[in-house]
Amino acid sequence: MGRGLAIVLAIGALVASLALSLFACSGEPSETGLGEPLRLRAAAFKAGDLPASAAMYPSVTSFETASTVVRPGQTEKGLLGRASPDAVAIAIRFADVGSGYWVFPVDGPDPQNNGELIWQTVADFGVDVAPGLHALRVVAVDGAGVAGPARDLSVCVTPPVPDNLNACDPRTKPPAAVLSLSWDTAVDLDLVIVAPDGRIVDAKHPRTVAPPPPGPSTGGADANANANANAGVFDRDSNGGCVIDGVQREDLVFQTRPAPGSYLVYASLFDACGKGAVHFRFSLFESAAAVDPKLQQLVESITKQGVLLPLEASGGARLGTFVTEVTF
Amino acid sequence: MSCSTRASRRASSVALVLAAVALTRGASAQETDLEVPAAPPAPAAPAAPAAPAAPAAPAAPLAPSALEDRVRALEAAAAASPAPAPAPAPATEVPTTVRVEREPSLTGGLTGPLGLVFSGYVQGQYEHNPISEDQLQQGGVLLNQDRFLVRRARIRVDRAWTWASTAIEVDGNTVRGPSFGLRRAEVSLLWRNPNRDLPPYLRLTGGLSEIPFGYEMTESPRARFFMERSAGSLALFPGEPDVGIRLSGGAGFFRYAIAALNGEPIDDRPGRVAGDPNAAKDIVARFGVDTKPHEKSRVAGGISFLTGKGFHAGKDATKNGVVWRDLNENGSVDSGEITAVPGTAATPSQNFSRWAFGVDLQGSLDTPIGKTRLYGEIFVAQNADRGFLVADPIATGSDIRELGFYAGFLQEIGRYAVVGFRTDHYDPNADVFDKRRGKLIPADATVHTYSPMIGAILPDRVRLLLQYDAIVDSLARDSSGVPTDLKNDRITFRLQGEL
Repeated sequence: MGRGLAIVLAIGALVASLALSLFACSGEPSETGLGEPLRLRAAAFKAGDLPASAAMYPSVTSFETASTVVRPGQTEKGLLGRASPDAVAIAIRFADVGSGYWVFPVDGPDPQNNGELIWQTVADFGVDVAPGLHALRVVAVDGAGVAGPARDLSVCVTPPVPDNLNACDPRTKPPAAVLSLSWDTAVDLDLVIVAPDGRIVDAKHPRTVAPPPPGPSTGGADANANANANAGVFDRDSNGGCVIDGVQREDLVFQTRPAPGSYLVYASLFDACGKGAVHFRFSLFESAAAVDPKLQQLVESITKQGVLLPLEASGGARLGTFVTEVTF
Repeated sequence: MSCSTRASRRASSVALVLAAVALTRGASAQETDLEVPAAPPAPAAPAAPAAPAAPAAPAAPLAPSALEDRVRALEAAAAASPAPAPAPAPATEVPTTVRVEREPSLTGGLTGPLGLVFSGYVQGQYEHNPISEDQLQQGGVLLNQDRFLVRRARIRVDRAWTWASTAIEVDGNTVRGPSFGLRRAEVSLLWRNPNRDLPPYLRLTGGLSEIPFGYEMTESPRARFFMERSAGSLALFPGEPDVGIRLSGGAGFFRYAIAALNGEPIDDRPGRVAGDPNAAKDIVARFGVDTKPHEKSRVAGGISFLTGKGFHAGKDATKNGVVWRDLNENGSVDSGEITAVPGTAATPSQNFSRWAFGVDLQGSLDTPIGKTRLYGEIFVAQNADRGFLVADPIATGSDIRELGFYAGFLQEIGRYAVVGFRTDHYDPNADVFDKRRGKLIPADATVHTYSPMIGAILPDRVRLLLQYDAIVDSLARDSSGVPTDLKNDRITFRLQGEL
């Protein structure tokens, strides 16, 4: 038996070493790229920088998208363009973030543009892409794997909290204040605010100031405009009715300084949606002077965290768990 | 008492005990998968006295004198028995339960009450695949494939009579989470061949049983050295058993099996939905030969075919709805972005034809270092893929042609080791196209797998196997966007133990 085992071990080592040497390095890695800030459908992910060369061709001759504003977590954003007729594939990535790029084949020629090859793809974006301006960089690749010159398209990635695109253009004034509640589990959690006048504001009653009644204005157009301008408005009812949207954040946005007084903040678990405990985080963002005193930016000034259990779900029957009091 | 008489009596006592032990072991050698060899009633009759003698088995370790005392006591009890006549009655009942053949490399199982034979085995393994990621695919499918798992844990109960046999086998595994399921539930009527080494002349089997197509489908995963069946076999038959009725047997070198089956091979890995619930049954058959041209060699082969109807599921009716398309991608509903989606009527389900034809050949030779086996199989098929790239010609608009073949080599090294190599090739669609610059060009979807294997064996007890699967396919894309080999070679360590 000992001799047999020795033979087995010897042959095993031989077979294993042969197999590993022959095959272990074979094949092209194919990662899903789910951790990337940019994800393309029907494309292959490659780690590393875009292929680059000094060649003029193949080249990307056109790069378009419907909007250059990107929300974190946005899906199905169309990217399209054209490439020179010698291209076989397009490679694309964020110029400044991410660990690799995506490759996909070009489509057929466009007879209206001298036979340039059309390309198009659908992109998803990660939820944790840093807010601000980023460049989407594309290159065309020929059959030999040689890439042409890069072409950039600048896009604005917005922050999770509404900021009127201040993160991309500091000259744009951000909201005066944003009360924001975010959470980590796919439950229907609501931010509830009790305004100084006792008005209860939440995603189902999304304004701190009642909208002007229909019909002829009694206080004049200016009064209505002021009322609207001073109103805090909810941006969404996230996961409402357990229709999961993946955002898991609700914001009450004041474009101008809120009416003075104390605002009571509650976190109300409307429905646990069959999930377990949910961890939430409340933040107050206020407009403050930036490095350049002429410019403004949103700054997080108050944060509170907590945990809610499924048994605390009330279906909106209660205000919810008291979180904090914010005074303006 | 003379010395010779005492010696004779001692000898007869020991013989009696040995006979009892032999009978016990013989019964425990009844095995599972297998044919119930003809055990003619006449030779079985002497076994009748063994039944009362069975309690003597524990006496085996006793000293000869103790054995003699015991035999004397038994003889005295037999002489004092007032009614020896009833003894022949049970003698006529015992032969109805017969022994089952052993499956290669298996233990004999354990014989329990009523002649039930219990057997089983466990395959625990570790797999490594470079394609693994600690991520979940859309829908929740785990992408990590570096893991320990119980591939198969099976318990089987058999019982056989002269004209019939029954088997039940359950399988547990953790391939896609812990699960248990029925692996075999069959009852057979048999017309046995008097030669125990040959299958019955006729065997009519009903229930959940093997699909008689080719060689791999009927080879027990318990006896197979390679981890899984070849890629083509797994594609055509995601599982080995199917529910139906089967007529099988053999005479001389001729072997045959014809089955009418539901056409839904039952995969022991959970999560796969059966896709062939139609009334049409698949007809699967294999006709072959099994010969021993030399006492140290064996040659077998056969042709197989499958013909049946696949099922294309229709769709439910839908109601009217609206869809928001964020055309300007500003995250808000703007004019012209709400689109009406009229409801659609249900679409009917449809059947489609499928078939497969295969040829298999196996040879073995007893060499000085151990048994050498060489075997292979080739098949062509149409719309028969149910596991890899599921064929649905109704959806694709054209028939899908498949081709697969494999060749395997196994060399036993003494009793304690085995090495092997298998190469298999499977083309799930001979008419696949790839798109380049807007033009469709013919492409190759063939998956080639090269599998060296090595194992250490404790005969009938434990196997430790190592297999490397070098998989060459076209599932990745290179930096030019052209299909290329995906880095998905797999290595598997398996420890298999018998019950």
